[in-house]
Amino acid sequence: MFRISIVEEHNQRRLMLEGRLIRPWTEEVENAWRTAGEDLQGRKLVVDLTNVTYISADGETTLIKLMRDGARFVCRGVLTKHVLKQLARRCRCTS
Amino acid sequence: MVEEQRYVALLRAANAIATSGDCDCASNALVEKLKEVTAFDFIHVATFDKETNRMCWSLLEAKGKRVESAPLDDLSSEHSPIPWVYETGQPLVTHDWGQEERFRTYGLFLSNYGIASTCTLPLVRGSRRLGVLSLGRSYPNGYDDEEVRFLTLASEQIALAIDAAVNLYISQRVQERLKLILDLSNQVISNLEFHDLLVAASASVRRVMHCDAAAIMLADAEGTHLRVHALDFPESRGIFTEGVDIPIEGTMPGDSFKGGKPIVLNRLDPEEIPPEMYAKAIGEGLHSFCDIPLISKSRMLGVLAVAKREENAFDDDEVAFLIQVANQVAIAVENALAYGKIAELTDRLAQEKLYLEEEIRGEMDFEGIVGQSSALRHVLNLVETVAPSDSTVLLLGETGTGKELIARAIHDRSKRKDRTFVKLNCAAIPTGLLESELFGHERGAFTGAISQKIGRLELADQGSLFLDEVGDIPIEIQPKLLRALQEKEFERLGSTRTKHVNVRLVAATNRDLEKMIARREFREDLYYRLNVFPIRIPPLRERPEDIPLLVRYFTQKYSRRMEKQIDSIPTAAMKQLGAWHWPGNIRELENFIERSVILTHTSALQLPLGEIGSAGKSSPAPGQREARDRDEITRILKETNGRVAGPQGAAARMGIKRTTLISRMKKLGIEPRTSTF
Repeated sequence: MFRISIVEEHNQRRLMLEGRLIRPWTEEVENAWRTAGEDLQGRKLVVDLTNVTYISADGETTLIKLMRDGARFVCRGVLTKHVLKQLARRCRCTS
Repeated sequence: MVEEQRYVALLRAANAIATSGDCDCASNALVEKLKEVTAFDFIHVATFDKETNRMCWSLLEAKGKRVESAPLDDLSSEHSPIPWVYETGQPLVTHDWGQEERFRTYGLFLSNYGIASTCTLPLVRGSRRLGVLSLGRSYPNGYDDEEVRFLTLASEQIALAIDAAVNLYISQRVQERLKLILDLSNQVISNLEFHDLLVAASASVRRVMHCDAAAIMLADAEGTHLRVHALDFPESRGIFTEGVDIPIEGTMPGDSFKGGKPIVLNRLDPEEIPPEMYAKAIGEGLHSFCDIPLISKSRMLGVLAVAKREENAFDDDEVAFLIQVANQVAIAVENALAYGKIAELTDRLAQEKLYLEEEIRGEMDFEGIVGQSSALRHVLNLVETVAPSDSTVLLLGETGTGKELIARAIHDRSKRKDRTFVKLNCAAIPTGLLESELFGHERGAFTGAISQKIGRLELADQGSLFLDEVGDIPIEIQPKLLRALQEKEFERLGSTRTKHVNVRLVAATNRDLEKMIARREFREDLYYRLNVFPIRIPPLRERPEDIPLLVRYFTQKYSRRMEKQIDSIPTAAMKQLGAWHWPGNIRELENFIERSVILTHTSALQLPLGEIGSAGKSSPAPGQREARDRDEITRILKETNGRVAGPQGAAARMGIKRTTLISRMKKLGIEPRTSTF
């Protein structure tokens, strides 16, 4: 199971991901990210990984794409934080 | 007319009538050919049902024009010479209807058409009375004795011909009706899709029963309405349509459904039927209706409804046959409903299976085999290589190394991923029950076998079977397992019927099967059958670089489950965890982290390091550890003939880098060459 929802707040739009970030949902996340980026009216766009329970290799690739597009993340849990740090490092190395 | 010519004409007439395919053709042939035999201005032919003595068919023509015979059909022998001649079997010649005192109604009818004299003859075949032939002329005394004698002879020939024509018609009708029953049976067998079946059945009924419309209506779940599921009405004016709901209360189909009996309406009478129904029937030009309940195993399913444009279209014979047809349709509907239910249940089971499999995946997290070490990557490479094949895989590794996770990963990357993955822990099942668990049993196979049971091998058909702790299978069951693996066949306990299965086997053990063979605890032939593609899963101490990731993984898992927010793990603690040799492998690490999360009350993970710090309890002394490492490296070098590098080398077998192995060998003073001896 995977769920993508958009939460509108006064200073930001939150793209909330819940469940297992694996294929084929990775493509859906990329589409949702593009759609959510429209008509922000000066607000920030944040990807919320708090309730993501697993990130596959495809999921990591998607997150790197989002990072390159300037995505900002919020997350919880020592593993997700560690994975995001690693991905940020990879992103810096390859860009 | 010369007498000889008349006889020839008579023979021709009889032949033409006898070979007519239906009533209309027979009537035309009779009138046309009889004119060549004798001159007449009036002809009336009637046939009677031999059981009821009621008129079943009649033909009336006066002055060359076909006349509606209905006004004369119901006359009794007092009012008409036709039933009189039929009953007495005697010819009746009326020389002048103007003078005739009997049969007044019939006489009036004849005078309207200017018929003065008639000769009425019985149509008899042997002792069997078929009907009556009456011929008339527009002048009195039209039939003298000689003419009557000739016509008596002619009537015998015509009786034969009519009987043959009637028999031909009946046999064709019986054939048509049998074909309808056969068609319906075929549809029952071949057409289980509900709507298609109903459409085909209603079309067949309409065609064979020569109706203008046929419909199949089924009761809704509430039992208040009948829904028109199929309507075959080629010349419909769009008033009667499919998909409409007809109330059961106050309607003709509803009454038939409630009463469980056929209802026939042979004439529209606005006083007898509801105004709405009357208006619709008139609108569609239908005048006769017959509704037959569809009853299967005493269950009321719905109604078969047929209609014709003509009045008085449904007689007792037609209704009796329609009841038989309705029984066939009811069986078809019952079967289609059962099929639909089975299909729905199968679909639901498939959905449930998908859901449960996803649940298991979520629970097991087998997709998330955690780690980035070269040893683990080597194992995963082997998994990727072997998974698409159907080969048996033997997983070797200490307890808690994740053998089941690897087995599931193999299944999930195989062609069988959409089929079942069945697991059996051979060590967890009592020896006496293992055989039954694996192969299944028939009812009564042993005391306590109160019902049939399907074994895991059968459950895994077309899928994968994971036999965990395969070394614990009792030696007496091993030959049966070997046969099931080699021949792909086995018998359930208590059964002589051989079952064939197509199963991909993944076996796992933490025991040394070669040593067990030496001790005769494990069959050599089974070992070689299992050892097609062995994968050794490294213990955690051989991949210490994965420990930090595993610690984070389990910390996040348990903090989420226990709803605790843990944001960091102290670096010193992480180092200590990495230094521990984890004899219980990942299972031990997981349990340790779970315990730590329970004990944590801050945002930093609090680890009870004292437990692993007191190394003396479970950690082997450094000398012991070195000796064990030396033994293992020496053993693997022997197996690889001293080869360290390459895909067949000891480093690959151990799942570690070549340089790491060389460094360890140096440290332990091992020479590759000496290890081969």
